[in-house]
Amino acid sequence: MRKKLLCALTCFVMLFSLALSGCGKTEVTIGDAIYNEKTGEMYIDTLENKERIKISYATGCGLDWIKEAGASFLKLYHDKYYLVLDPDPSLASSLKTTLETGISKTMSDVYFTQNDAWQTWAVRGWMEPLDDVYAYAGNGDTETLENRLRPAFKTVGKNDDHYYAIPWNEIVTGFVYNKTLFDDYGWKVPTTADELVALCEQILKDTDGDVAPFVYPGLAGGYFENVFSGWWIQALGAEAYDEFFNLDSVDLFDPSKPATKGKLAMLENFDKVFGANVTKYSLDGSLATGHIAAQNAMLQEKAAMMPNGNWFEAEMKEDLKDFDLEFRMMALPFIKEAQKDADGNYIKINFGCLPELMFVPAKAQNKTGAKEFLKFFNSSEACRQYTQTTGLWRPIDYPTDGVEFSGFAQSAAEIRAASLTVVDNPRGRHYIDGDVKKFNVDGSPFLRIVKGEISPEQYCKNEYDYVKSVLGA
Amino acid sequence: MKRSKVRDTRVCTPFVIGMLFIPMLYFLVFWVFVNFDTIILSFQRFDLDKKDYYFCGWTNYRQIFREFAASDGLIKTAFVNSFLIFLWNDIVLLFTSLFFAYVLHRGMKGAQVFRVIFFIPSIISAVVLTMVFGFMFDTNVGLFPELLKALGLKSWIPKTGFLAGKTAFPMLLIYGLWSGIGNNVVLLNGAIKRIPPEIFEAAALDGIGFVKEFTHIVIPLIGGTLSTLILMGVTLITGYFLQPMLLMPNSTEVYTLGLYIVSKVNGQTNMGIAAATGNLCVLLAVPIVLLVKTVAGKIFPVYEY
Repeated sequence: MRKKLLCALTCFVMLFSLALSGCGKTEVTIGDAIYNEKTGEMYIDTLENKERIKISYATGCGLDWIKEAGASFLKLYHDKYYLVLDPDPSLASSLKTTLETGISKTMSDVYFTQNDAWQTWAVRGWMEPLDDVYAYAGNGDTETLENRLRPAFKTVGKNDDHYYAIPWNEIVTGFVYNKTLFDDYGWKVPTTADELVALCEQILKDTDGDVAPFVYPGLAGGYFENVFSGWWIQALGAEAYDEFFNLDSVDLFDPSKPATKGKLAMLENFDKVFGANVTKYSLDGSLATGHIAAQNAMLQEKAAMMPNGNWFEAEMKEDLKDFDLEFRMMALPFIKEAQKDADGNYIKINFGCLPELMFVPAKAQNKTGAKEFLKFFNSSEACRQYTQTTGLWRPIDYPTDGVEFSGFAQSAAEIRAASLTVVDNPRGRHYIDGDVKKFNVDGSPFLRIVKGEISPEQYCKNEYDYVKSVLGA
Repeated sequence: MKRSKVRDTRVCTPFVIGMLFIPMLYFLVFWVFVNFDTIILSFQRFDLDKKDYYFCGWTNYRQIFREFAASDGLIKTAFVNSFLIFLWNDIVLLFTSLFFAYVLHRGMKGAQVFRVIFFIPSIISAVVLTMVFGFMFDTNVGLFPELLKALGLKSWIPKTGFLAGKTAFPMLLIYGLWSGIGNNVVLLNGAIKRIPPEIFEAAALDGIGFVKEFTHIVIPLIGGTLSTLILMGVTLITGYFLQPMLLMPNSTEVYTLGLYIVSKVNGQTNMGIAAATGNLCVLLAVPIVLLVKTVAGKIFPVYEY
C-alpha cells in the first residue's frame, strides 16, 4: 500500500512539474517583432501566408545580435517572411553531415559557423553562390558588399571565381588587461616584447607575487595560436603571411627561409614569456584552466593580463557586473623582428584568426529569402546595429557614429582602426588533402613549448622534415 | 494437431521476418554499409578540380605513417596511454570493483546506501561529471587544492595544476576509477548474487574464511561476468576518448588512440585520412581482442550452476 502511495505521489509531482513547465511566458517582443523562445519563430503580426527563413548559428557571440537583426529585417520584410532562429552550439561538427545528406526539410536557409574546409563543400555543389549578394548595393548603401569588405576579407569567401560565403566577425586579438590594477600600480601598457618582459617583472615585484602577470586557458589551446600568430605576421609581413596559406612549397617550411624564420621568431618570443623556464609569469594552474575559469581568475585579480580577443566582454557580460573593475585590450607588443614601414615605425598588425562565415546551402528551401536576409544583414545599418549589440565588429567598412562603446570595446576599436587586420585563409590542394597545415607534426606547438616538451628550433626542424617527406614525395 | 502446426507456421513466419527485418536493416546500414564505406573512403581523396573523390591507392595510409615517423612523441604517448588505460581498467578498476561488490554482498552495514553512492557517477552525464571533477581539482577554486592549502601542504599542488603536466594522466586514471566503479560493482554484485546460497552455506560448514570464499568460490563462479568485463576493457584501447577530451582538452599528456582518431575526424579536411586511421586501429585491435578473449576464457572458464 505504501509503495502504491509513493508511486502515485511521484506521478503526481511529475505531472504537476510538467504542467508548470508549460506555463512560462514563451513569447517576447523585440522591436515590432514577436519572438517565441520555445520554437525560435519570429514574426510581425502573424505567421500566416508568409515564407519561412530558418537561420542556424554558432553561439559564441551570444544570442541577442540575431534577435535584434531579425527584428530589424522583419520591419522591412514582415509582409513576406517570418524567421526561425536556431542557436546550435555543435553546428561546426554536425554541419557537414547535414549538407551531405541534402535533405531540404531539415536544412536551414542560412548558416553562421566556422569551418576551414568549406571549399570542398562549394565544389561539391552544397553551397549556393552568393555573387548577387556580393554585388548588391541597397538597404541604404550605395557601394556593393564586395567593395565595402575590408581588404583582408575580400577573398576569404571566394572559390573558383564565385563567392560562396561571407565573413562574419572581424576579431581583434591581443591582451585583455585589468586597467584598474594597471592604474593603481602605475603600470604602463607595453609596446614591445622587451617592455612586456620588464612589465611582468614589475608586476611580480610590486605585488610580491600575489598577482601573476598572466593567466591563460591551457585547456583551450587555440588562445595562444589566435593571439601570437600576430608575432609571426609582424615578422613575415601581411602579404607573405597570406601567400604562406597556399601551402604549396617545401620552402615555406625551410627554417632558413622567411616564412619559417617568422614562425621561429614568433615561437622564440613566446618562449621568453610563457616557456617552461619562465613559469613565474603565469598564474599557477593555468595549464589546467579552461577559458571561462581563466577569465574569472582575471576578475578575481589573480592575474593582470590574458591573451584574448574582443569577445571577452560579451562572454563575461554577466560576471563583469559583480566586479567594480575596468578591463581594456592592448595590442600585441612588437617583437624586435617586426617589420617597419618607410618611416621606420613598426607596422601595426591585428590577427583576425580564421574567419567565421555565413552561407546559404544549395538545397535550402528558401534561397531567395536567405539571400534577402544576407543582403540586409550585411548592410551598413545592420552592421552598425551588430556592433551596438555585441561590441564586436563586422569585417566591413561602415560608420559607427552614435554607437555607445564601453571602455573595453573602445580599446578594441582603437586597435582595429590603427592596425592592418590579417586572417588565416588556408587553401589549395595540399591543404584540402590534409597533407600540410599551418602547424604540422603533433599539432600546435605553443602548449608543447609551455610544457618544455620541445624547443622552437626543434619544432621548426621537425616540421620541415615532415613537409619535405610530404611535398617531396 | 497437424492443422494447428500449419496455422502456427503461417502466423509465425511473417512475425519472425517482421521482427528480424529491423535489426537486419540496422545491421546492414550501420554495420555493413558504414564499415565498407569507411574501407573504400580510406583509399580515396577529394579532387578540387574534378569536384569528386578519386581512387588514390595507399596514399592516405602512407600519409599516416609519415605522420607517425615525424611525430615527436605524441603518437607514442597515445599508444602507451591507451594500453595503460586498458590495463588500469582490466586490473585495478575491475579488481577494486570486485572487492567492493564482494564487501557489499557480505552484507556490511549500509550496503544499499553504498551501492547507490557507487552507482551515482554512472548515471550522471560524462560532461557534468568531468566538469565536477575538474572543479574539484582546479588550482584556484578547487576543493582539493583548498584542502591541501588549509593543511599547510600548498607545495603539493603542482604548478601546472593537477589536470596538466605530469599529474594529468594519473588524474585521468583516478577519474576513470571514480566514474567507472559504479557500473562494475552493480554488474559484479548481480553476478555474485546469482551464486546459489547453498554453496556459501556448505563452504561455511567446511570452515573456510572470507579470503578463500572470495578466491575459491566467488571468482571462479562469476568467471563469465569477469571475462566479459575484461573483454569490454579491450575496446578502450581504441575507443577511450571522451573522458580526456572533456576533462583535459588539448593536453598531450592524456592523448589516446581514440582521441587521435577523433582529432583526425574533427580537424580533417581529408576524410580519407580519418577513415584510414580508423581502419589501422581496427587492425591493431582485432588480434588484441582475440588474444584477450582466449586468455580470459582460459583463466575464467564459465561454470553452469
